[in-house]
Amino acid sequence: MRIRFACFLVALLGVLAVAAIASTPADTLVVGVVEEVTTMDPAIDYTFGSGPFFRAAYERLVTFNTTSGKIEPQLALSWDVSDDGKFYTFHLRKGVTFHDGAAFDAAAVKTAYDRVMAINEGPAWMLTSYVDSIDVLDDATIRFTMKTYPFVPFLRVLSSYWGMCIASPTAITQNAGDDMGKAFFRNHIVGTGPYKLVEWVEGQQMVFERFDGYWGGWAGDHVKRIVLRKILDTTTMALLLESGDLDIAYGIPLDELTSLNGKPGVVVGVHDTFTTNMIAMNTTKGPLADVRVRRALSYSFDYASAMEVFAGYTTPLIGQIPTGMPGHDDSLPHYVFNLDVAKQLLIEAGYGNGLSLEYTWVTEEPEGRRVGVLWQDTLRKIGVDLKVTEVTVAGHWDRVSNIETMPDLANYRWGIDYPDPSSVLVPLYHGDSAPPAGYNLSRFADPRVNAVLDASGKEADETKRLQLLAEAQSLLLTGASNIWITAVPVTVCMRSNVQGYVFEPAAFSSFNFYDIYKK
Amino acid sequence: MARYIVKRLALLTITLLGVLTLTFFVSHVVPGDPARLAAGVRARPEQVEALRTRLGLDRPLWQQYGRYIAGVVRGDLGESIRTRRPVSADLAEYFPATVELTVFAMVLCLLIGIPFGIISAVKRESVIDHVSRVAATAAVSMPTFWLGLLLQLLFFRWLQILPATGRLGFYLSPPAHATGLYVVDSLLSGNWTALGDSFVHLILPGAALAASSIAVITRMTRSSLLEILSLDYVRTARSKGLAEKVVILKHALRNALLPSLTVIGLQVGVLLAGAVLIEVVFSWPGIGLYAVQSITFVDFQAILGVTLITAIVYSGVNLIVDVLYGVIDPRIHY
Repeated sequence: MRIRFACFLVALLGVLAVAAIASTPADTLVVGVVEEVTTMDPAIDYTFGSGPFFRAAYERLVTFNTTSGKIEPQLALSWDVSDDGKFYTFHLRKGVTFHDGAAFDAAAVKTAYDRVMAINEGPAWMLTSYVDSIDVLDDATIRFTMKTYPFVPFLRVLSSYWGMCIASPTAITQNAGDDMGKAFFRNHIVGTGPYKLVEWVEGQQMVFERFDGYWGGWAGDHVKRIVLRKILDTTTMALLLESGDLDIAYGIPLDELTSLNGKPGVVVGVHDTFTTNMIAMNTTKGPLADVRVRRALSYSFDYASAMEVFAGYTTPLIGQIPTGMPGHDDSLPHYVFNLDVAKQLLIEAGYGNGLSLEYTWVTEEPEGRRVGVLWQDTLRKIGVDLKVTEVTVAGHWDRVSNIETMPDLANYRWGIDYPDPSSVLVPLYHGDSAPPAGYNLSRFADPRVNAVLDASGKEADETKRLQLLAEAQSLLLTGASNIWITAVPVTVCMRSNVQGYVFEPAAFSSFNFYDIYKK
Repeated sequence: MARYIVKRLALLTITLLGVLTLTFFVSHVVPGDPARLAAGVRARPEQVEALRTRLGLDRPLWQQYGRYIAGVVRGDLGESIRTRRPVSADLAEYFPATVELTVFAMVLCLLIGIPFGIISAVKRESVIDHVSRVAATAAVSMPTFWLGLLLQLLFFRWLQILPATGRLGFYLSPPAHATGLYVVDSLLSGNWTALGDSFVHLILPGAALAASSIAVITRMTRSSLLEILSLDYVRTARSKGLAEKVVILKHALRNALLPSLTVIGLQVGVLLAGAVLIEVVFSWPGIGLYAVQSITFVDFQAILGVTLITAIVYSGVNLIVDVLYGVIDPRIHY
């Protein structure tokens, strides 16, 4: 009996061993991601979860080159901007087809963008705020007429993958139904990109296959299939990468990287994004309405030690614009940790005997807790009692959008909508951007900042524009509306045989799949 | 018996109404604006308001409650604000995965828990009894997710014989949809590759989920069997010269199983609750995972849908357990 049972166990384990582990095939790229979208519709999705597949399957008129900081052609070959900035005319690439065989032309662009604007959800504001109308001039020429002009960053807006991905006009018309195709595009992708969607098993995985009719052609090294596996638990994701069941693992938290560092066959990648982490100071009421107190707090923050929260993978942010984005300037003045100065400023402001402040951090952004606890310790030395409160992302928005419930200090992140400094400075610091209109949580309202920001949106001369941006940043530093901590790093770890990946801070969750291959 | 079942079913609807009412109001007290979250934090105020109106969130709470309950009566669970489709469609997609996992775990509980309970009772104070006591204590005290991670480390990482996540390997497509249970569906469609693969994927999450329930069932079976074995009628049976095997399996076990049955019924609730954590650790696309994501999104309708289906399953299982009492113990009449 016992022997029979033992034999059975051995046999069972043998069968399992054969059935279980297989490393990924050479022509297939398997990517582990934590986040999954709830709709694939380019007119609606406004999340980082779509990053991985939008660039595989959809294309835009133009793209942003992170290295040069310039706008480059994608479906548009070239463009002219009228002198007054009212008209943007694009000359389109010819011989491009959609996954469903429809031809790409000017009418397709108009159909796609008109749909985004008509649905008017999520990312649509990036078109509706600036574009008055879109006109087909001929098959290969399309003209955007602007509502407000000049608006210099418009080309960069068009390079965003939110709302700017162009879907097939045939698919749009045929599946319009009574909801403008929302039900269809929720789980279908019909773009011009190099890979087409084959299967989406919700909660599990998305499978993409090479689109044979891709205009870029398939010469050179490319993979045939891409599998995006949803893996919620990042510890497990690290195990899968180590064992070779994943080629790329996206989004393993920084403090979990130690398990992968130095493992054979694994390349750990940590990159600074264009998303920034900061603390908004409530400038409208309480002690923080006094700029001296805000400056004191800016001096009381130990920037270098705070980097330990990010496992030492990043550096303190200088100015408000993250490194790599046009307008970032390392020579800007910035606050350094100095408790004596902080104490002095508090005494000047009449808080020599100390004060008590509330600091909130968002559950989904865990760096906020550790930043808060570290700071709490430091602040105690100058008589400031910091109450650290956790809020959910929903609770955070509830509190910050109402001036009555806005905490003294709120830790938060800001990710850009399009790769231009205006996507950082305007929604965060323009006086008109107080919630719910924007994300100016400090309610910082300095007419000089507003004027400089307005002017920078209209300044076509790049050098002059950069001067204006530098001026805005200096004014913000003087006004101490926020404590600027760092650019938030993300991790992209991969097997060492994966080649061709280029990190793009503007669209950090995206992958240049067309250029990625396995050795 | 039939009358009893009908009465219980009538009581069940009252229970469900209570559960829904409580969950409805509690979930609406939680801070967070669902319209704002659904539209995206960067959405323009007018977009948020448009969505709020469309979702009916601008109405007074009691009206929303009335509309929701009226919908449930018609079989309409509302629309998830996160996934933007009917909650019933979401549940149809995610619930079978949880059913498959919990049924598998329950089978493990019965196949391991009861035999070990019997052996521990019969061979009381033997090595096997001590080992099973220690194992049971460990299994009950270890957090489920922690055990899940340990199992992954051992069987996936070190021994490399079992997969760590998901319901199928990435190279396979799900079998033709019939029940949504991959093992059953692949059997029905004769897809042997998918059958083997989906079974293999069940082992680690199933074992992690079942561990503490196995322990409870083992201990319960052991103690109730010990109690029965000391009774007079067992002594009588023995004195009649019946084989020990017959005494234990035929005479004693049947009575000893009664308390175990209650515990087994309760364990269904424990398994469903444990599934929430296990599904996150094993990326198992069931309602536990769905619930976790819905909660962070303040997705009322989805949370209510999960609550409703869990309450139905739990009450249903308890009803079945009560009916089984009558089957096992003829003295019990309803």
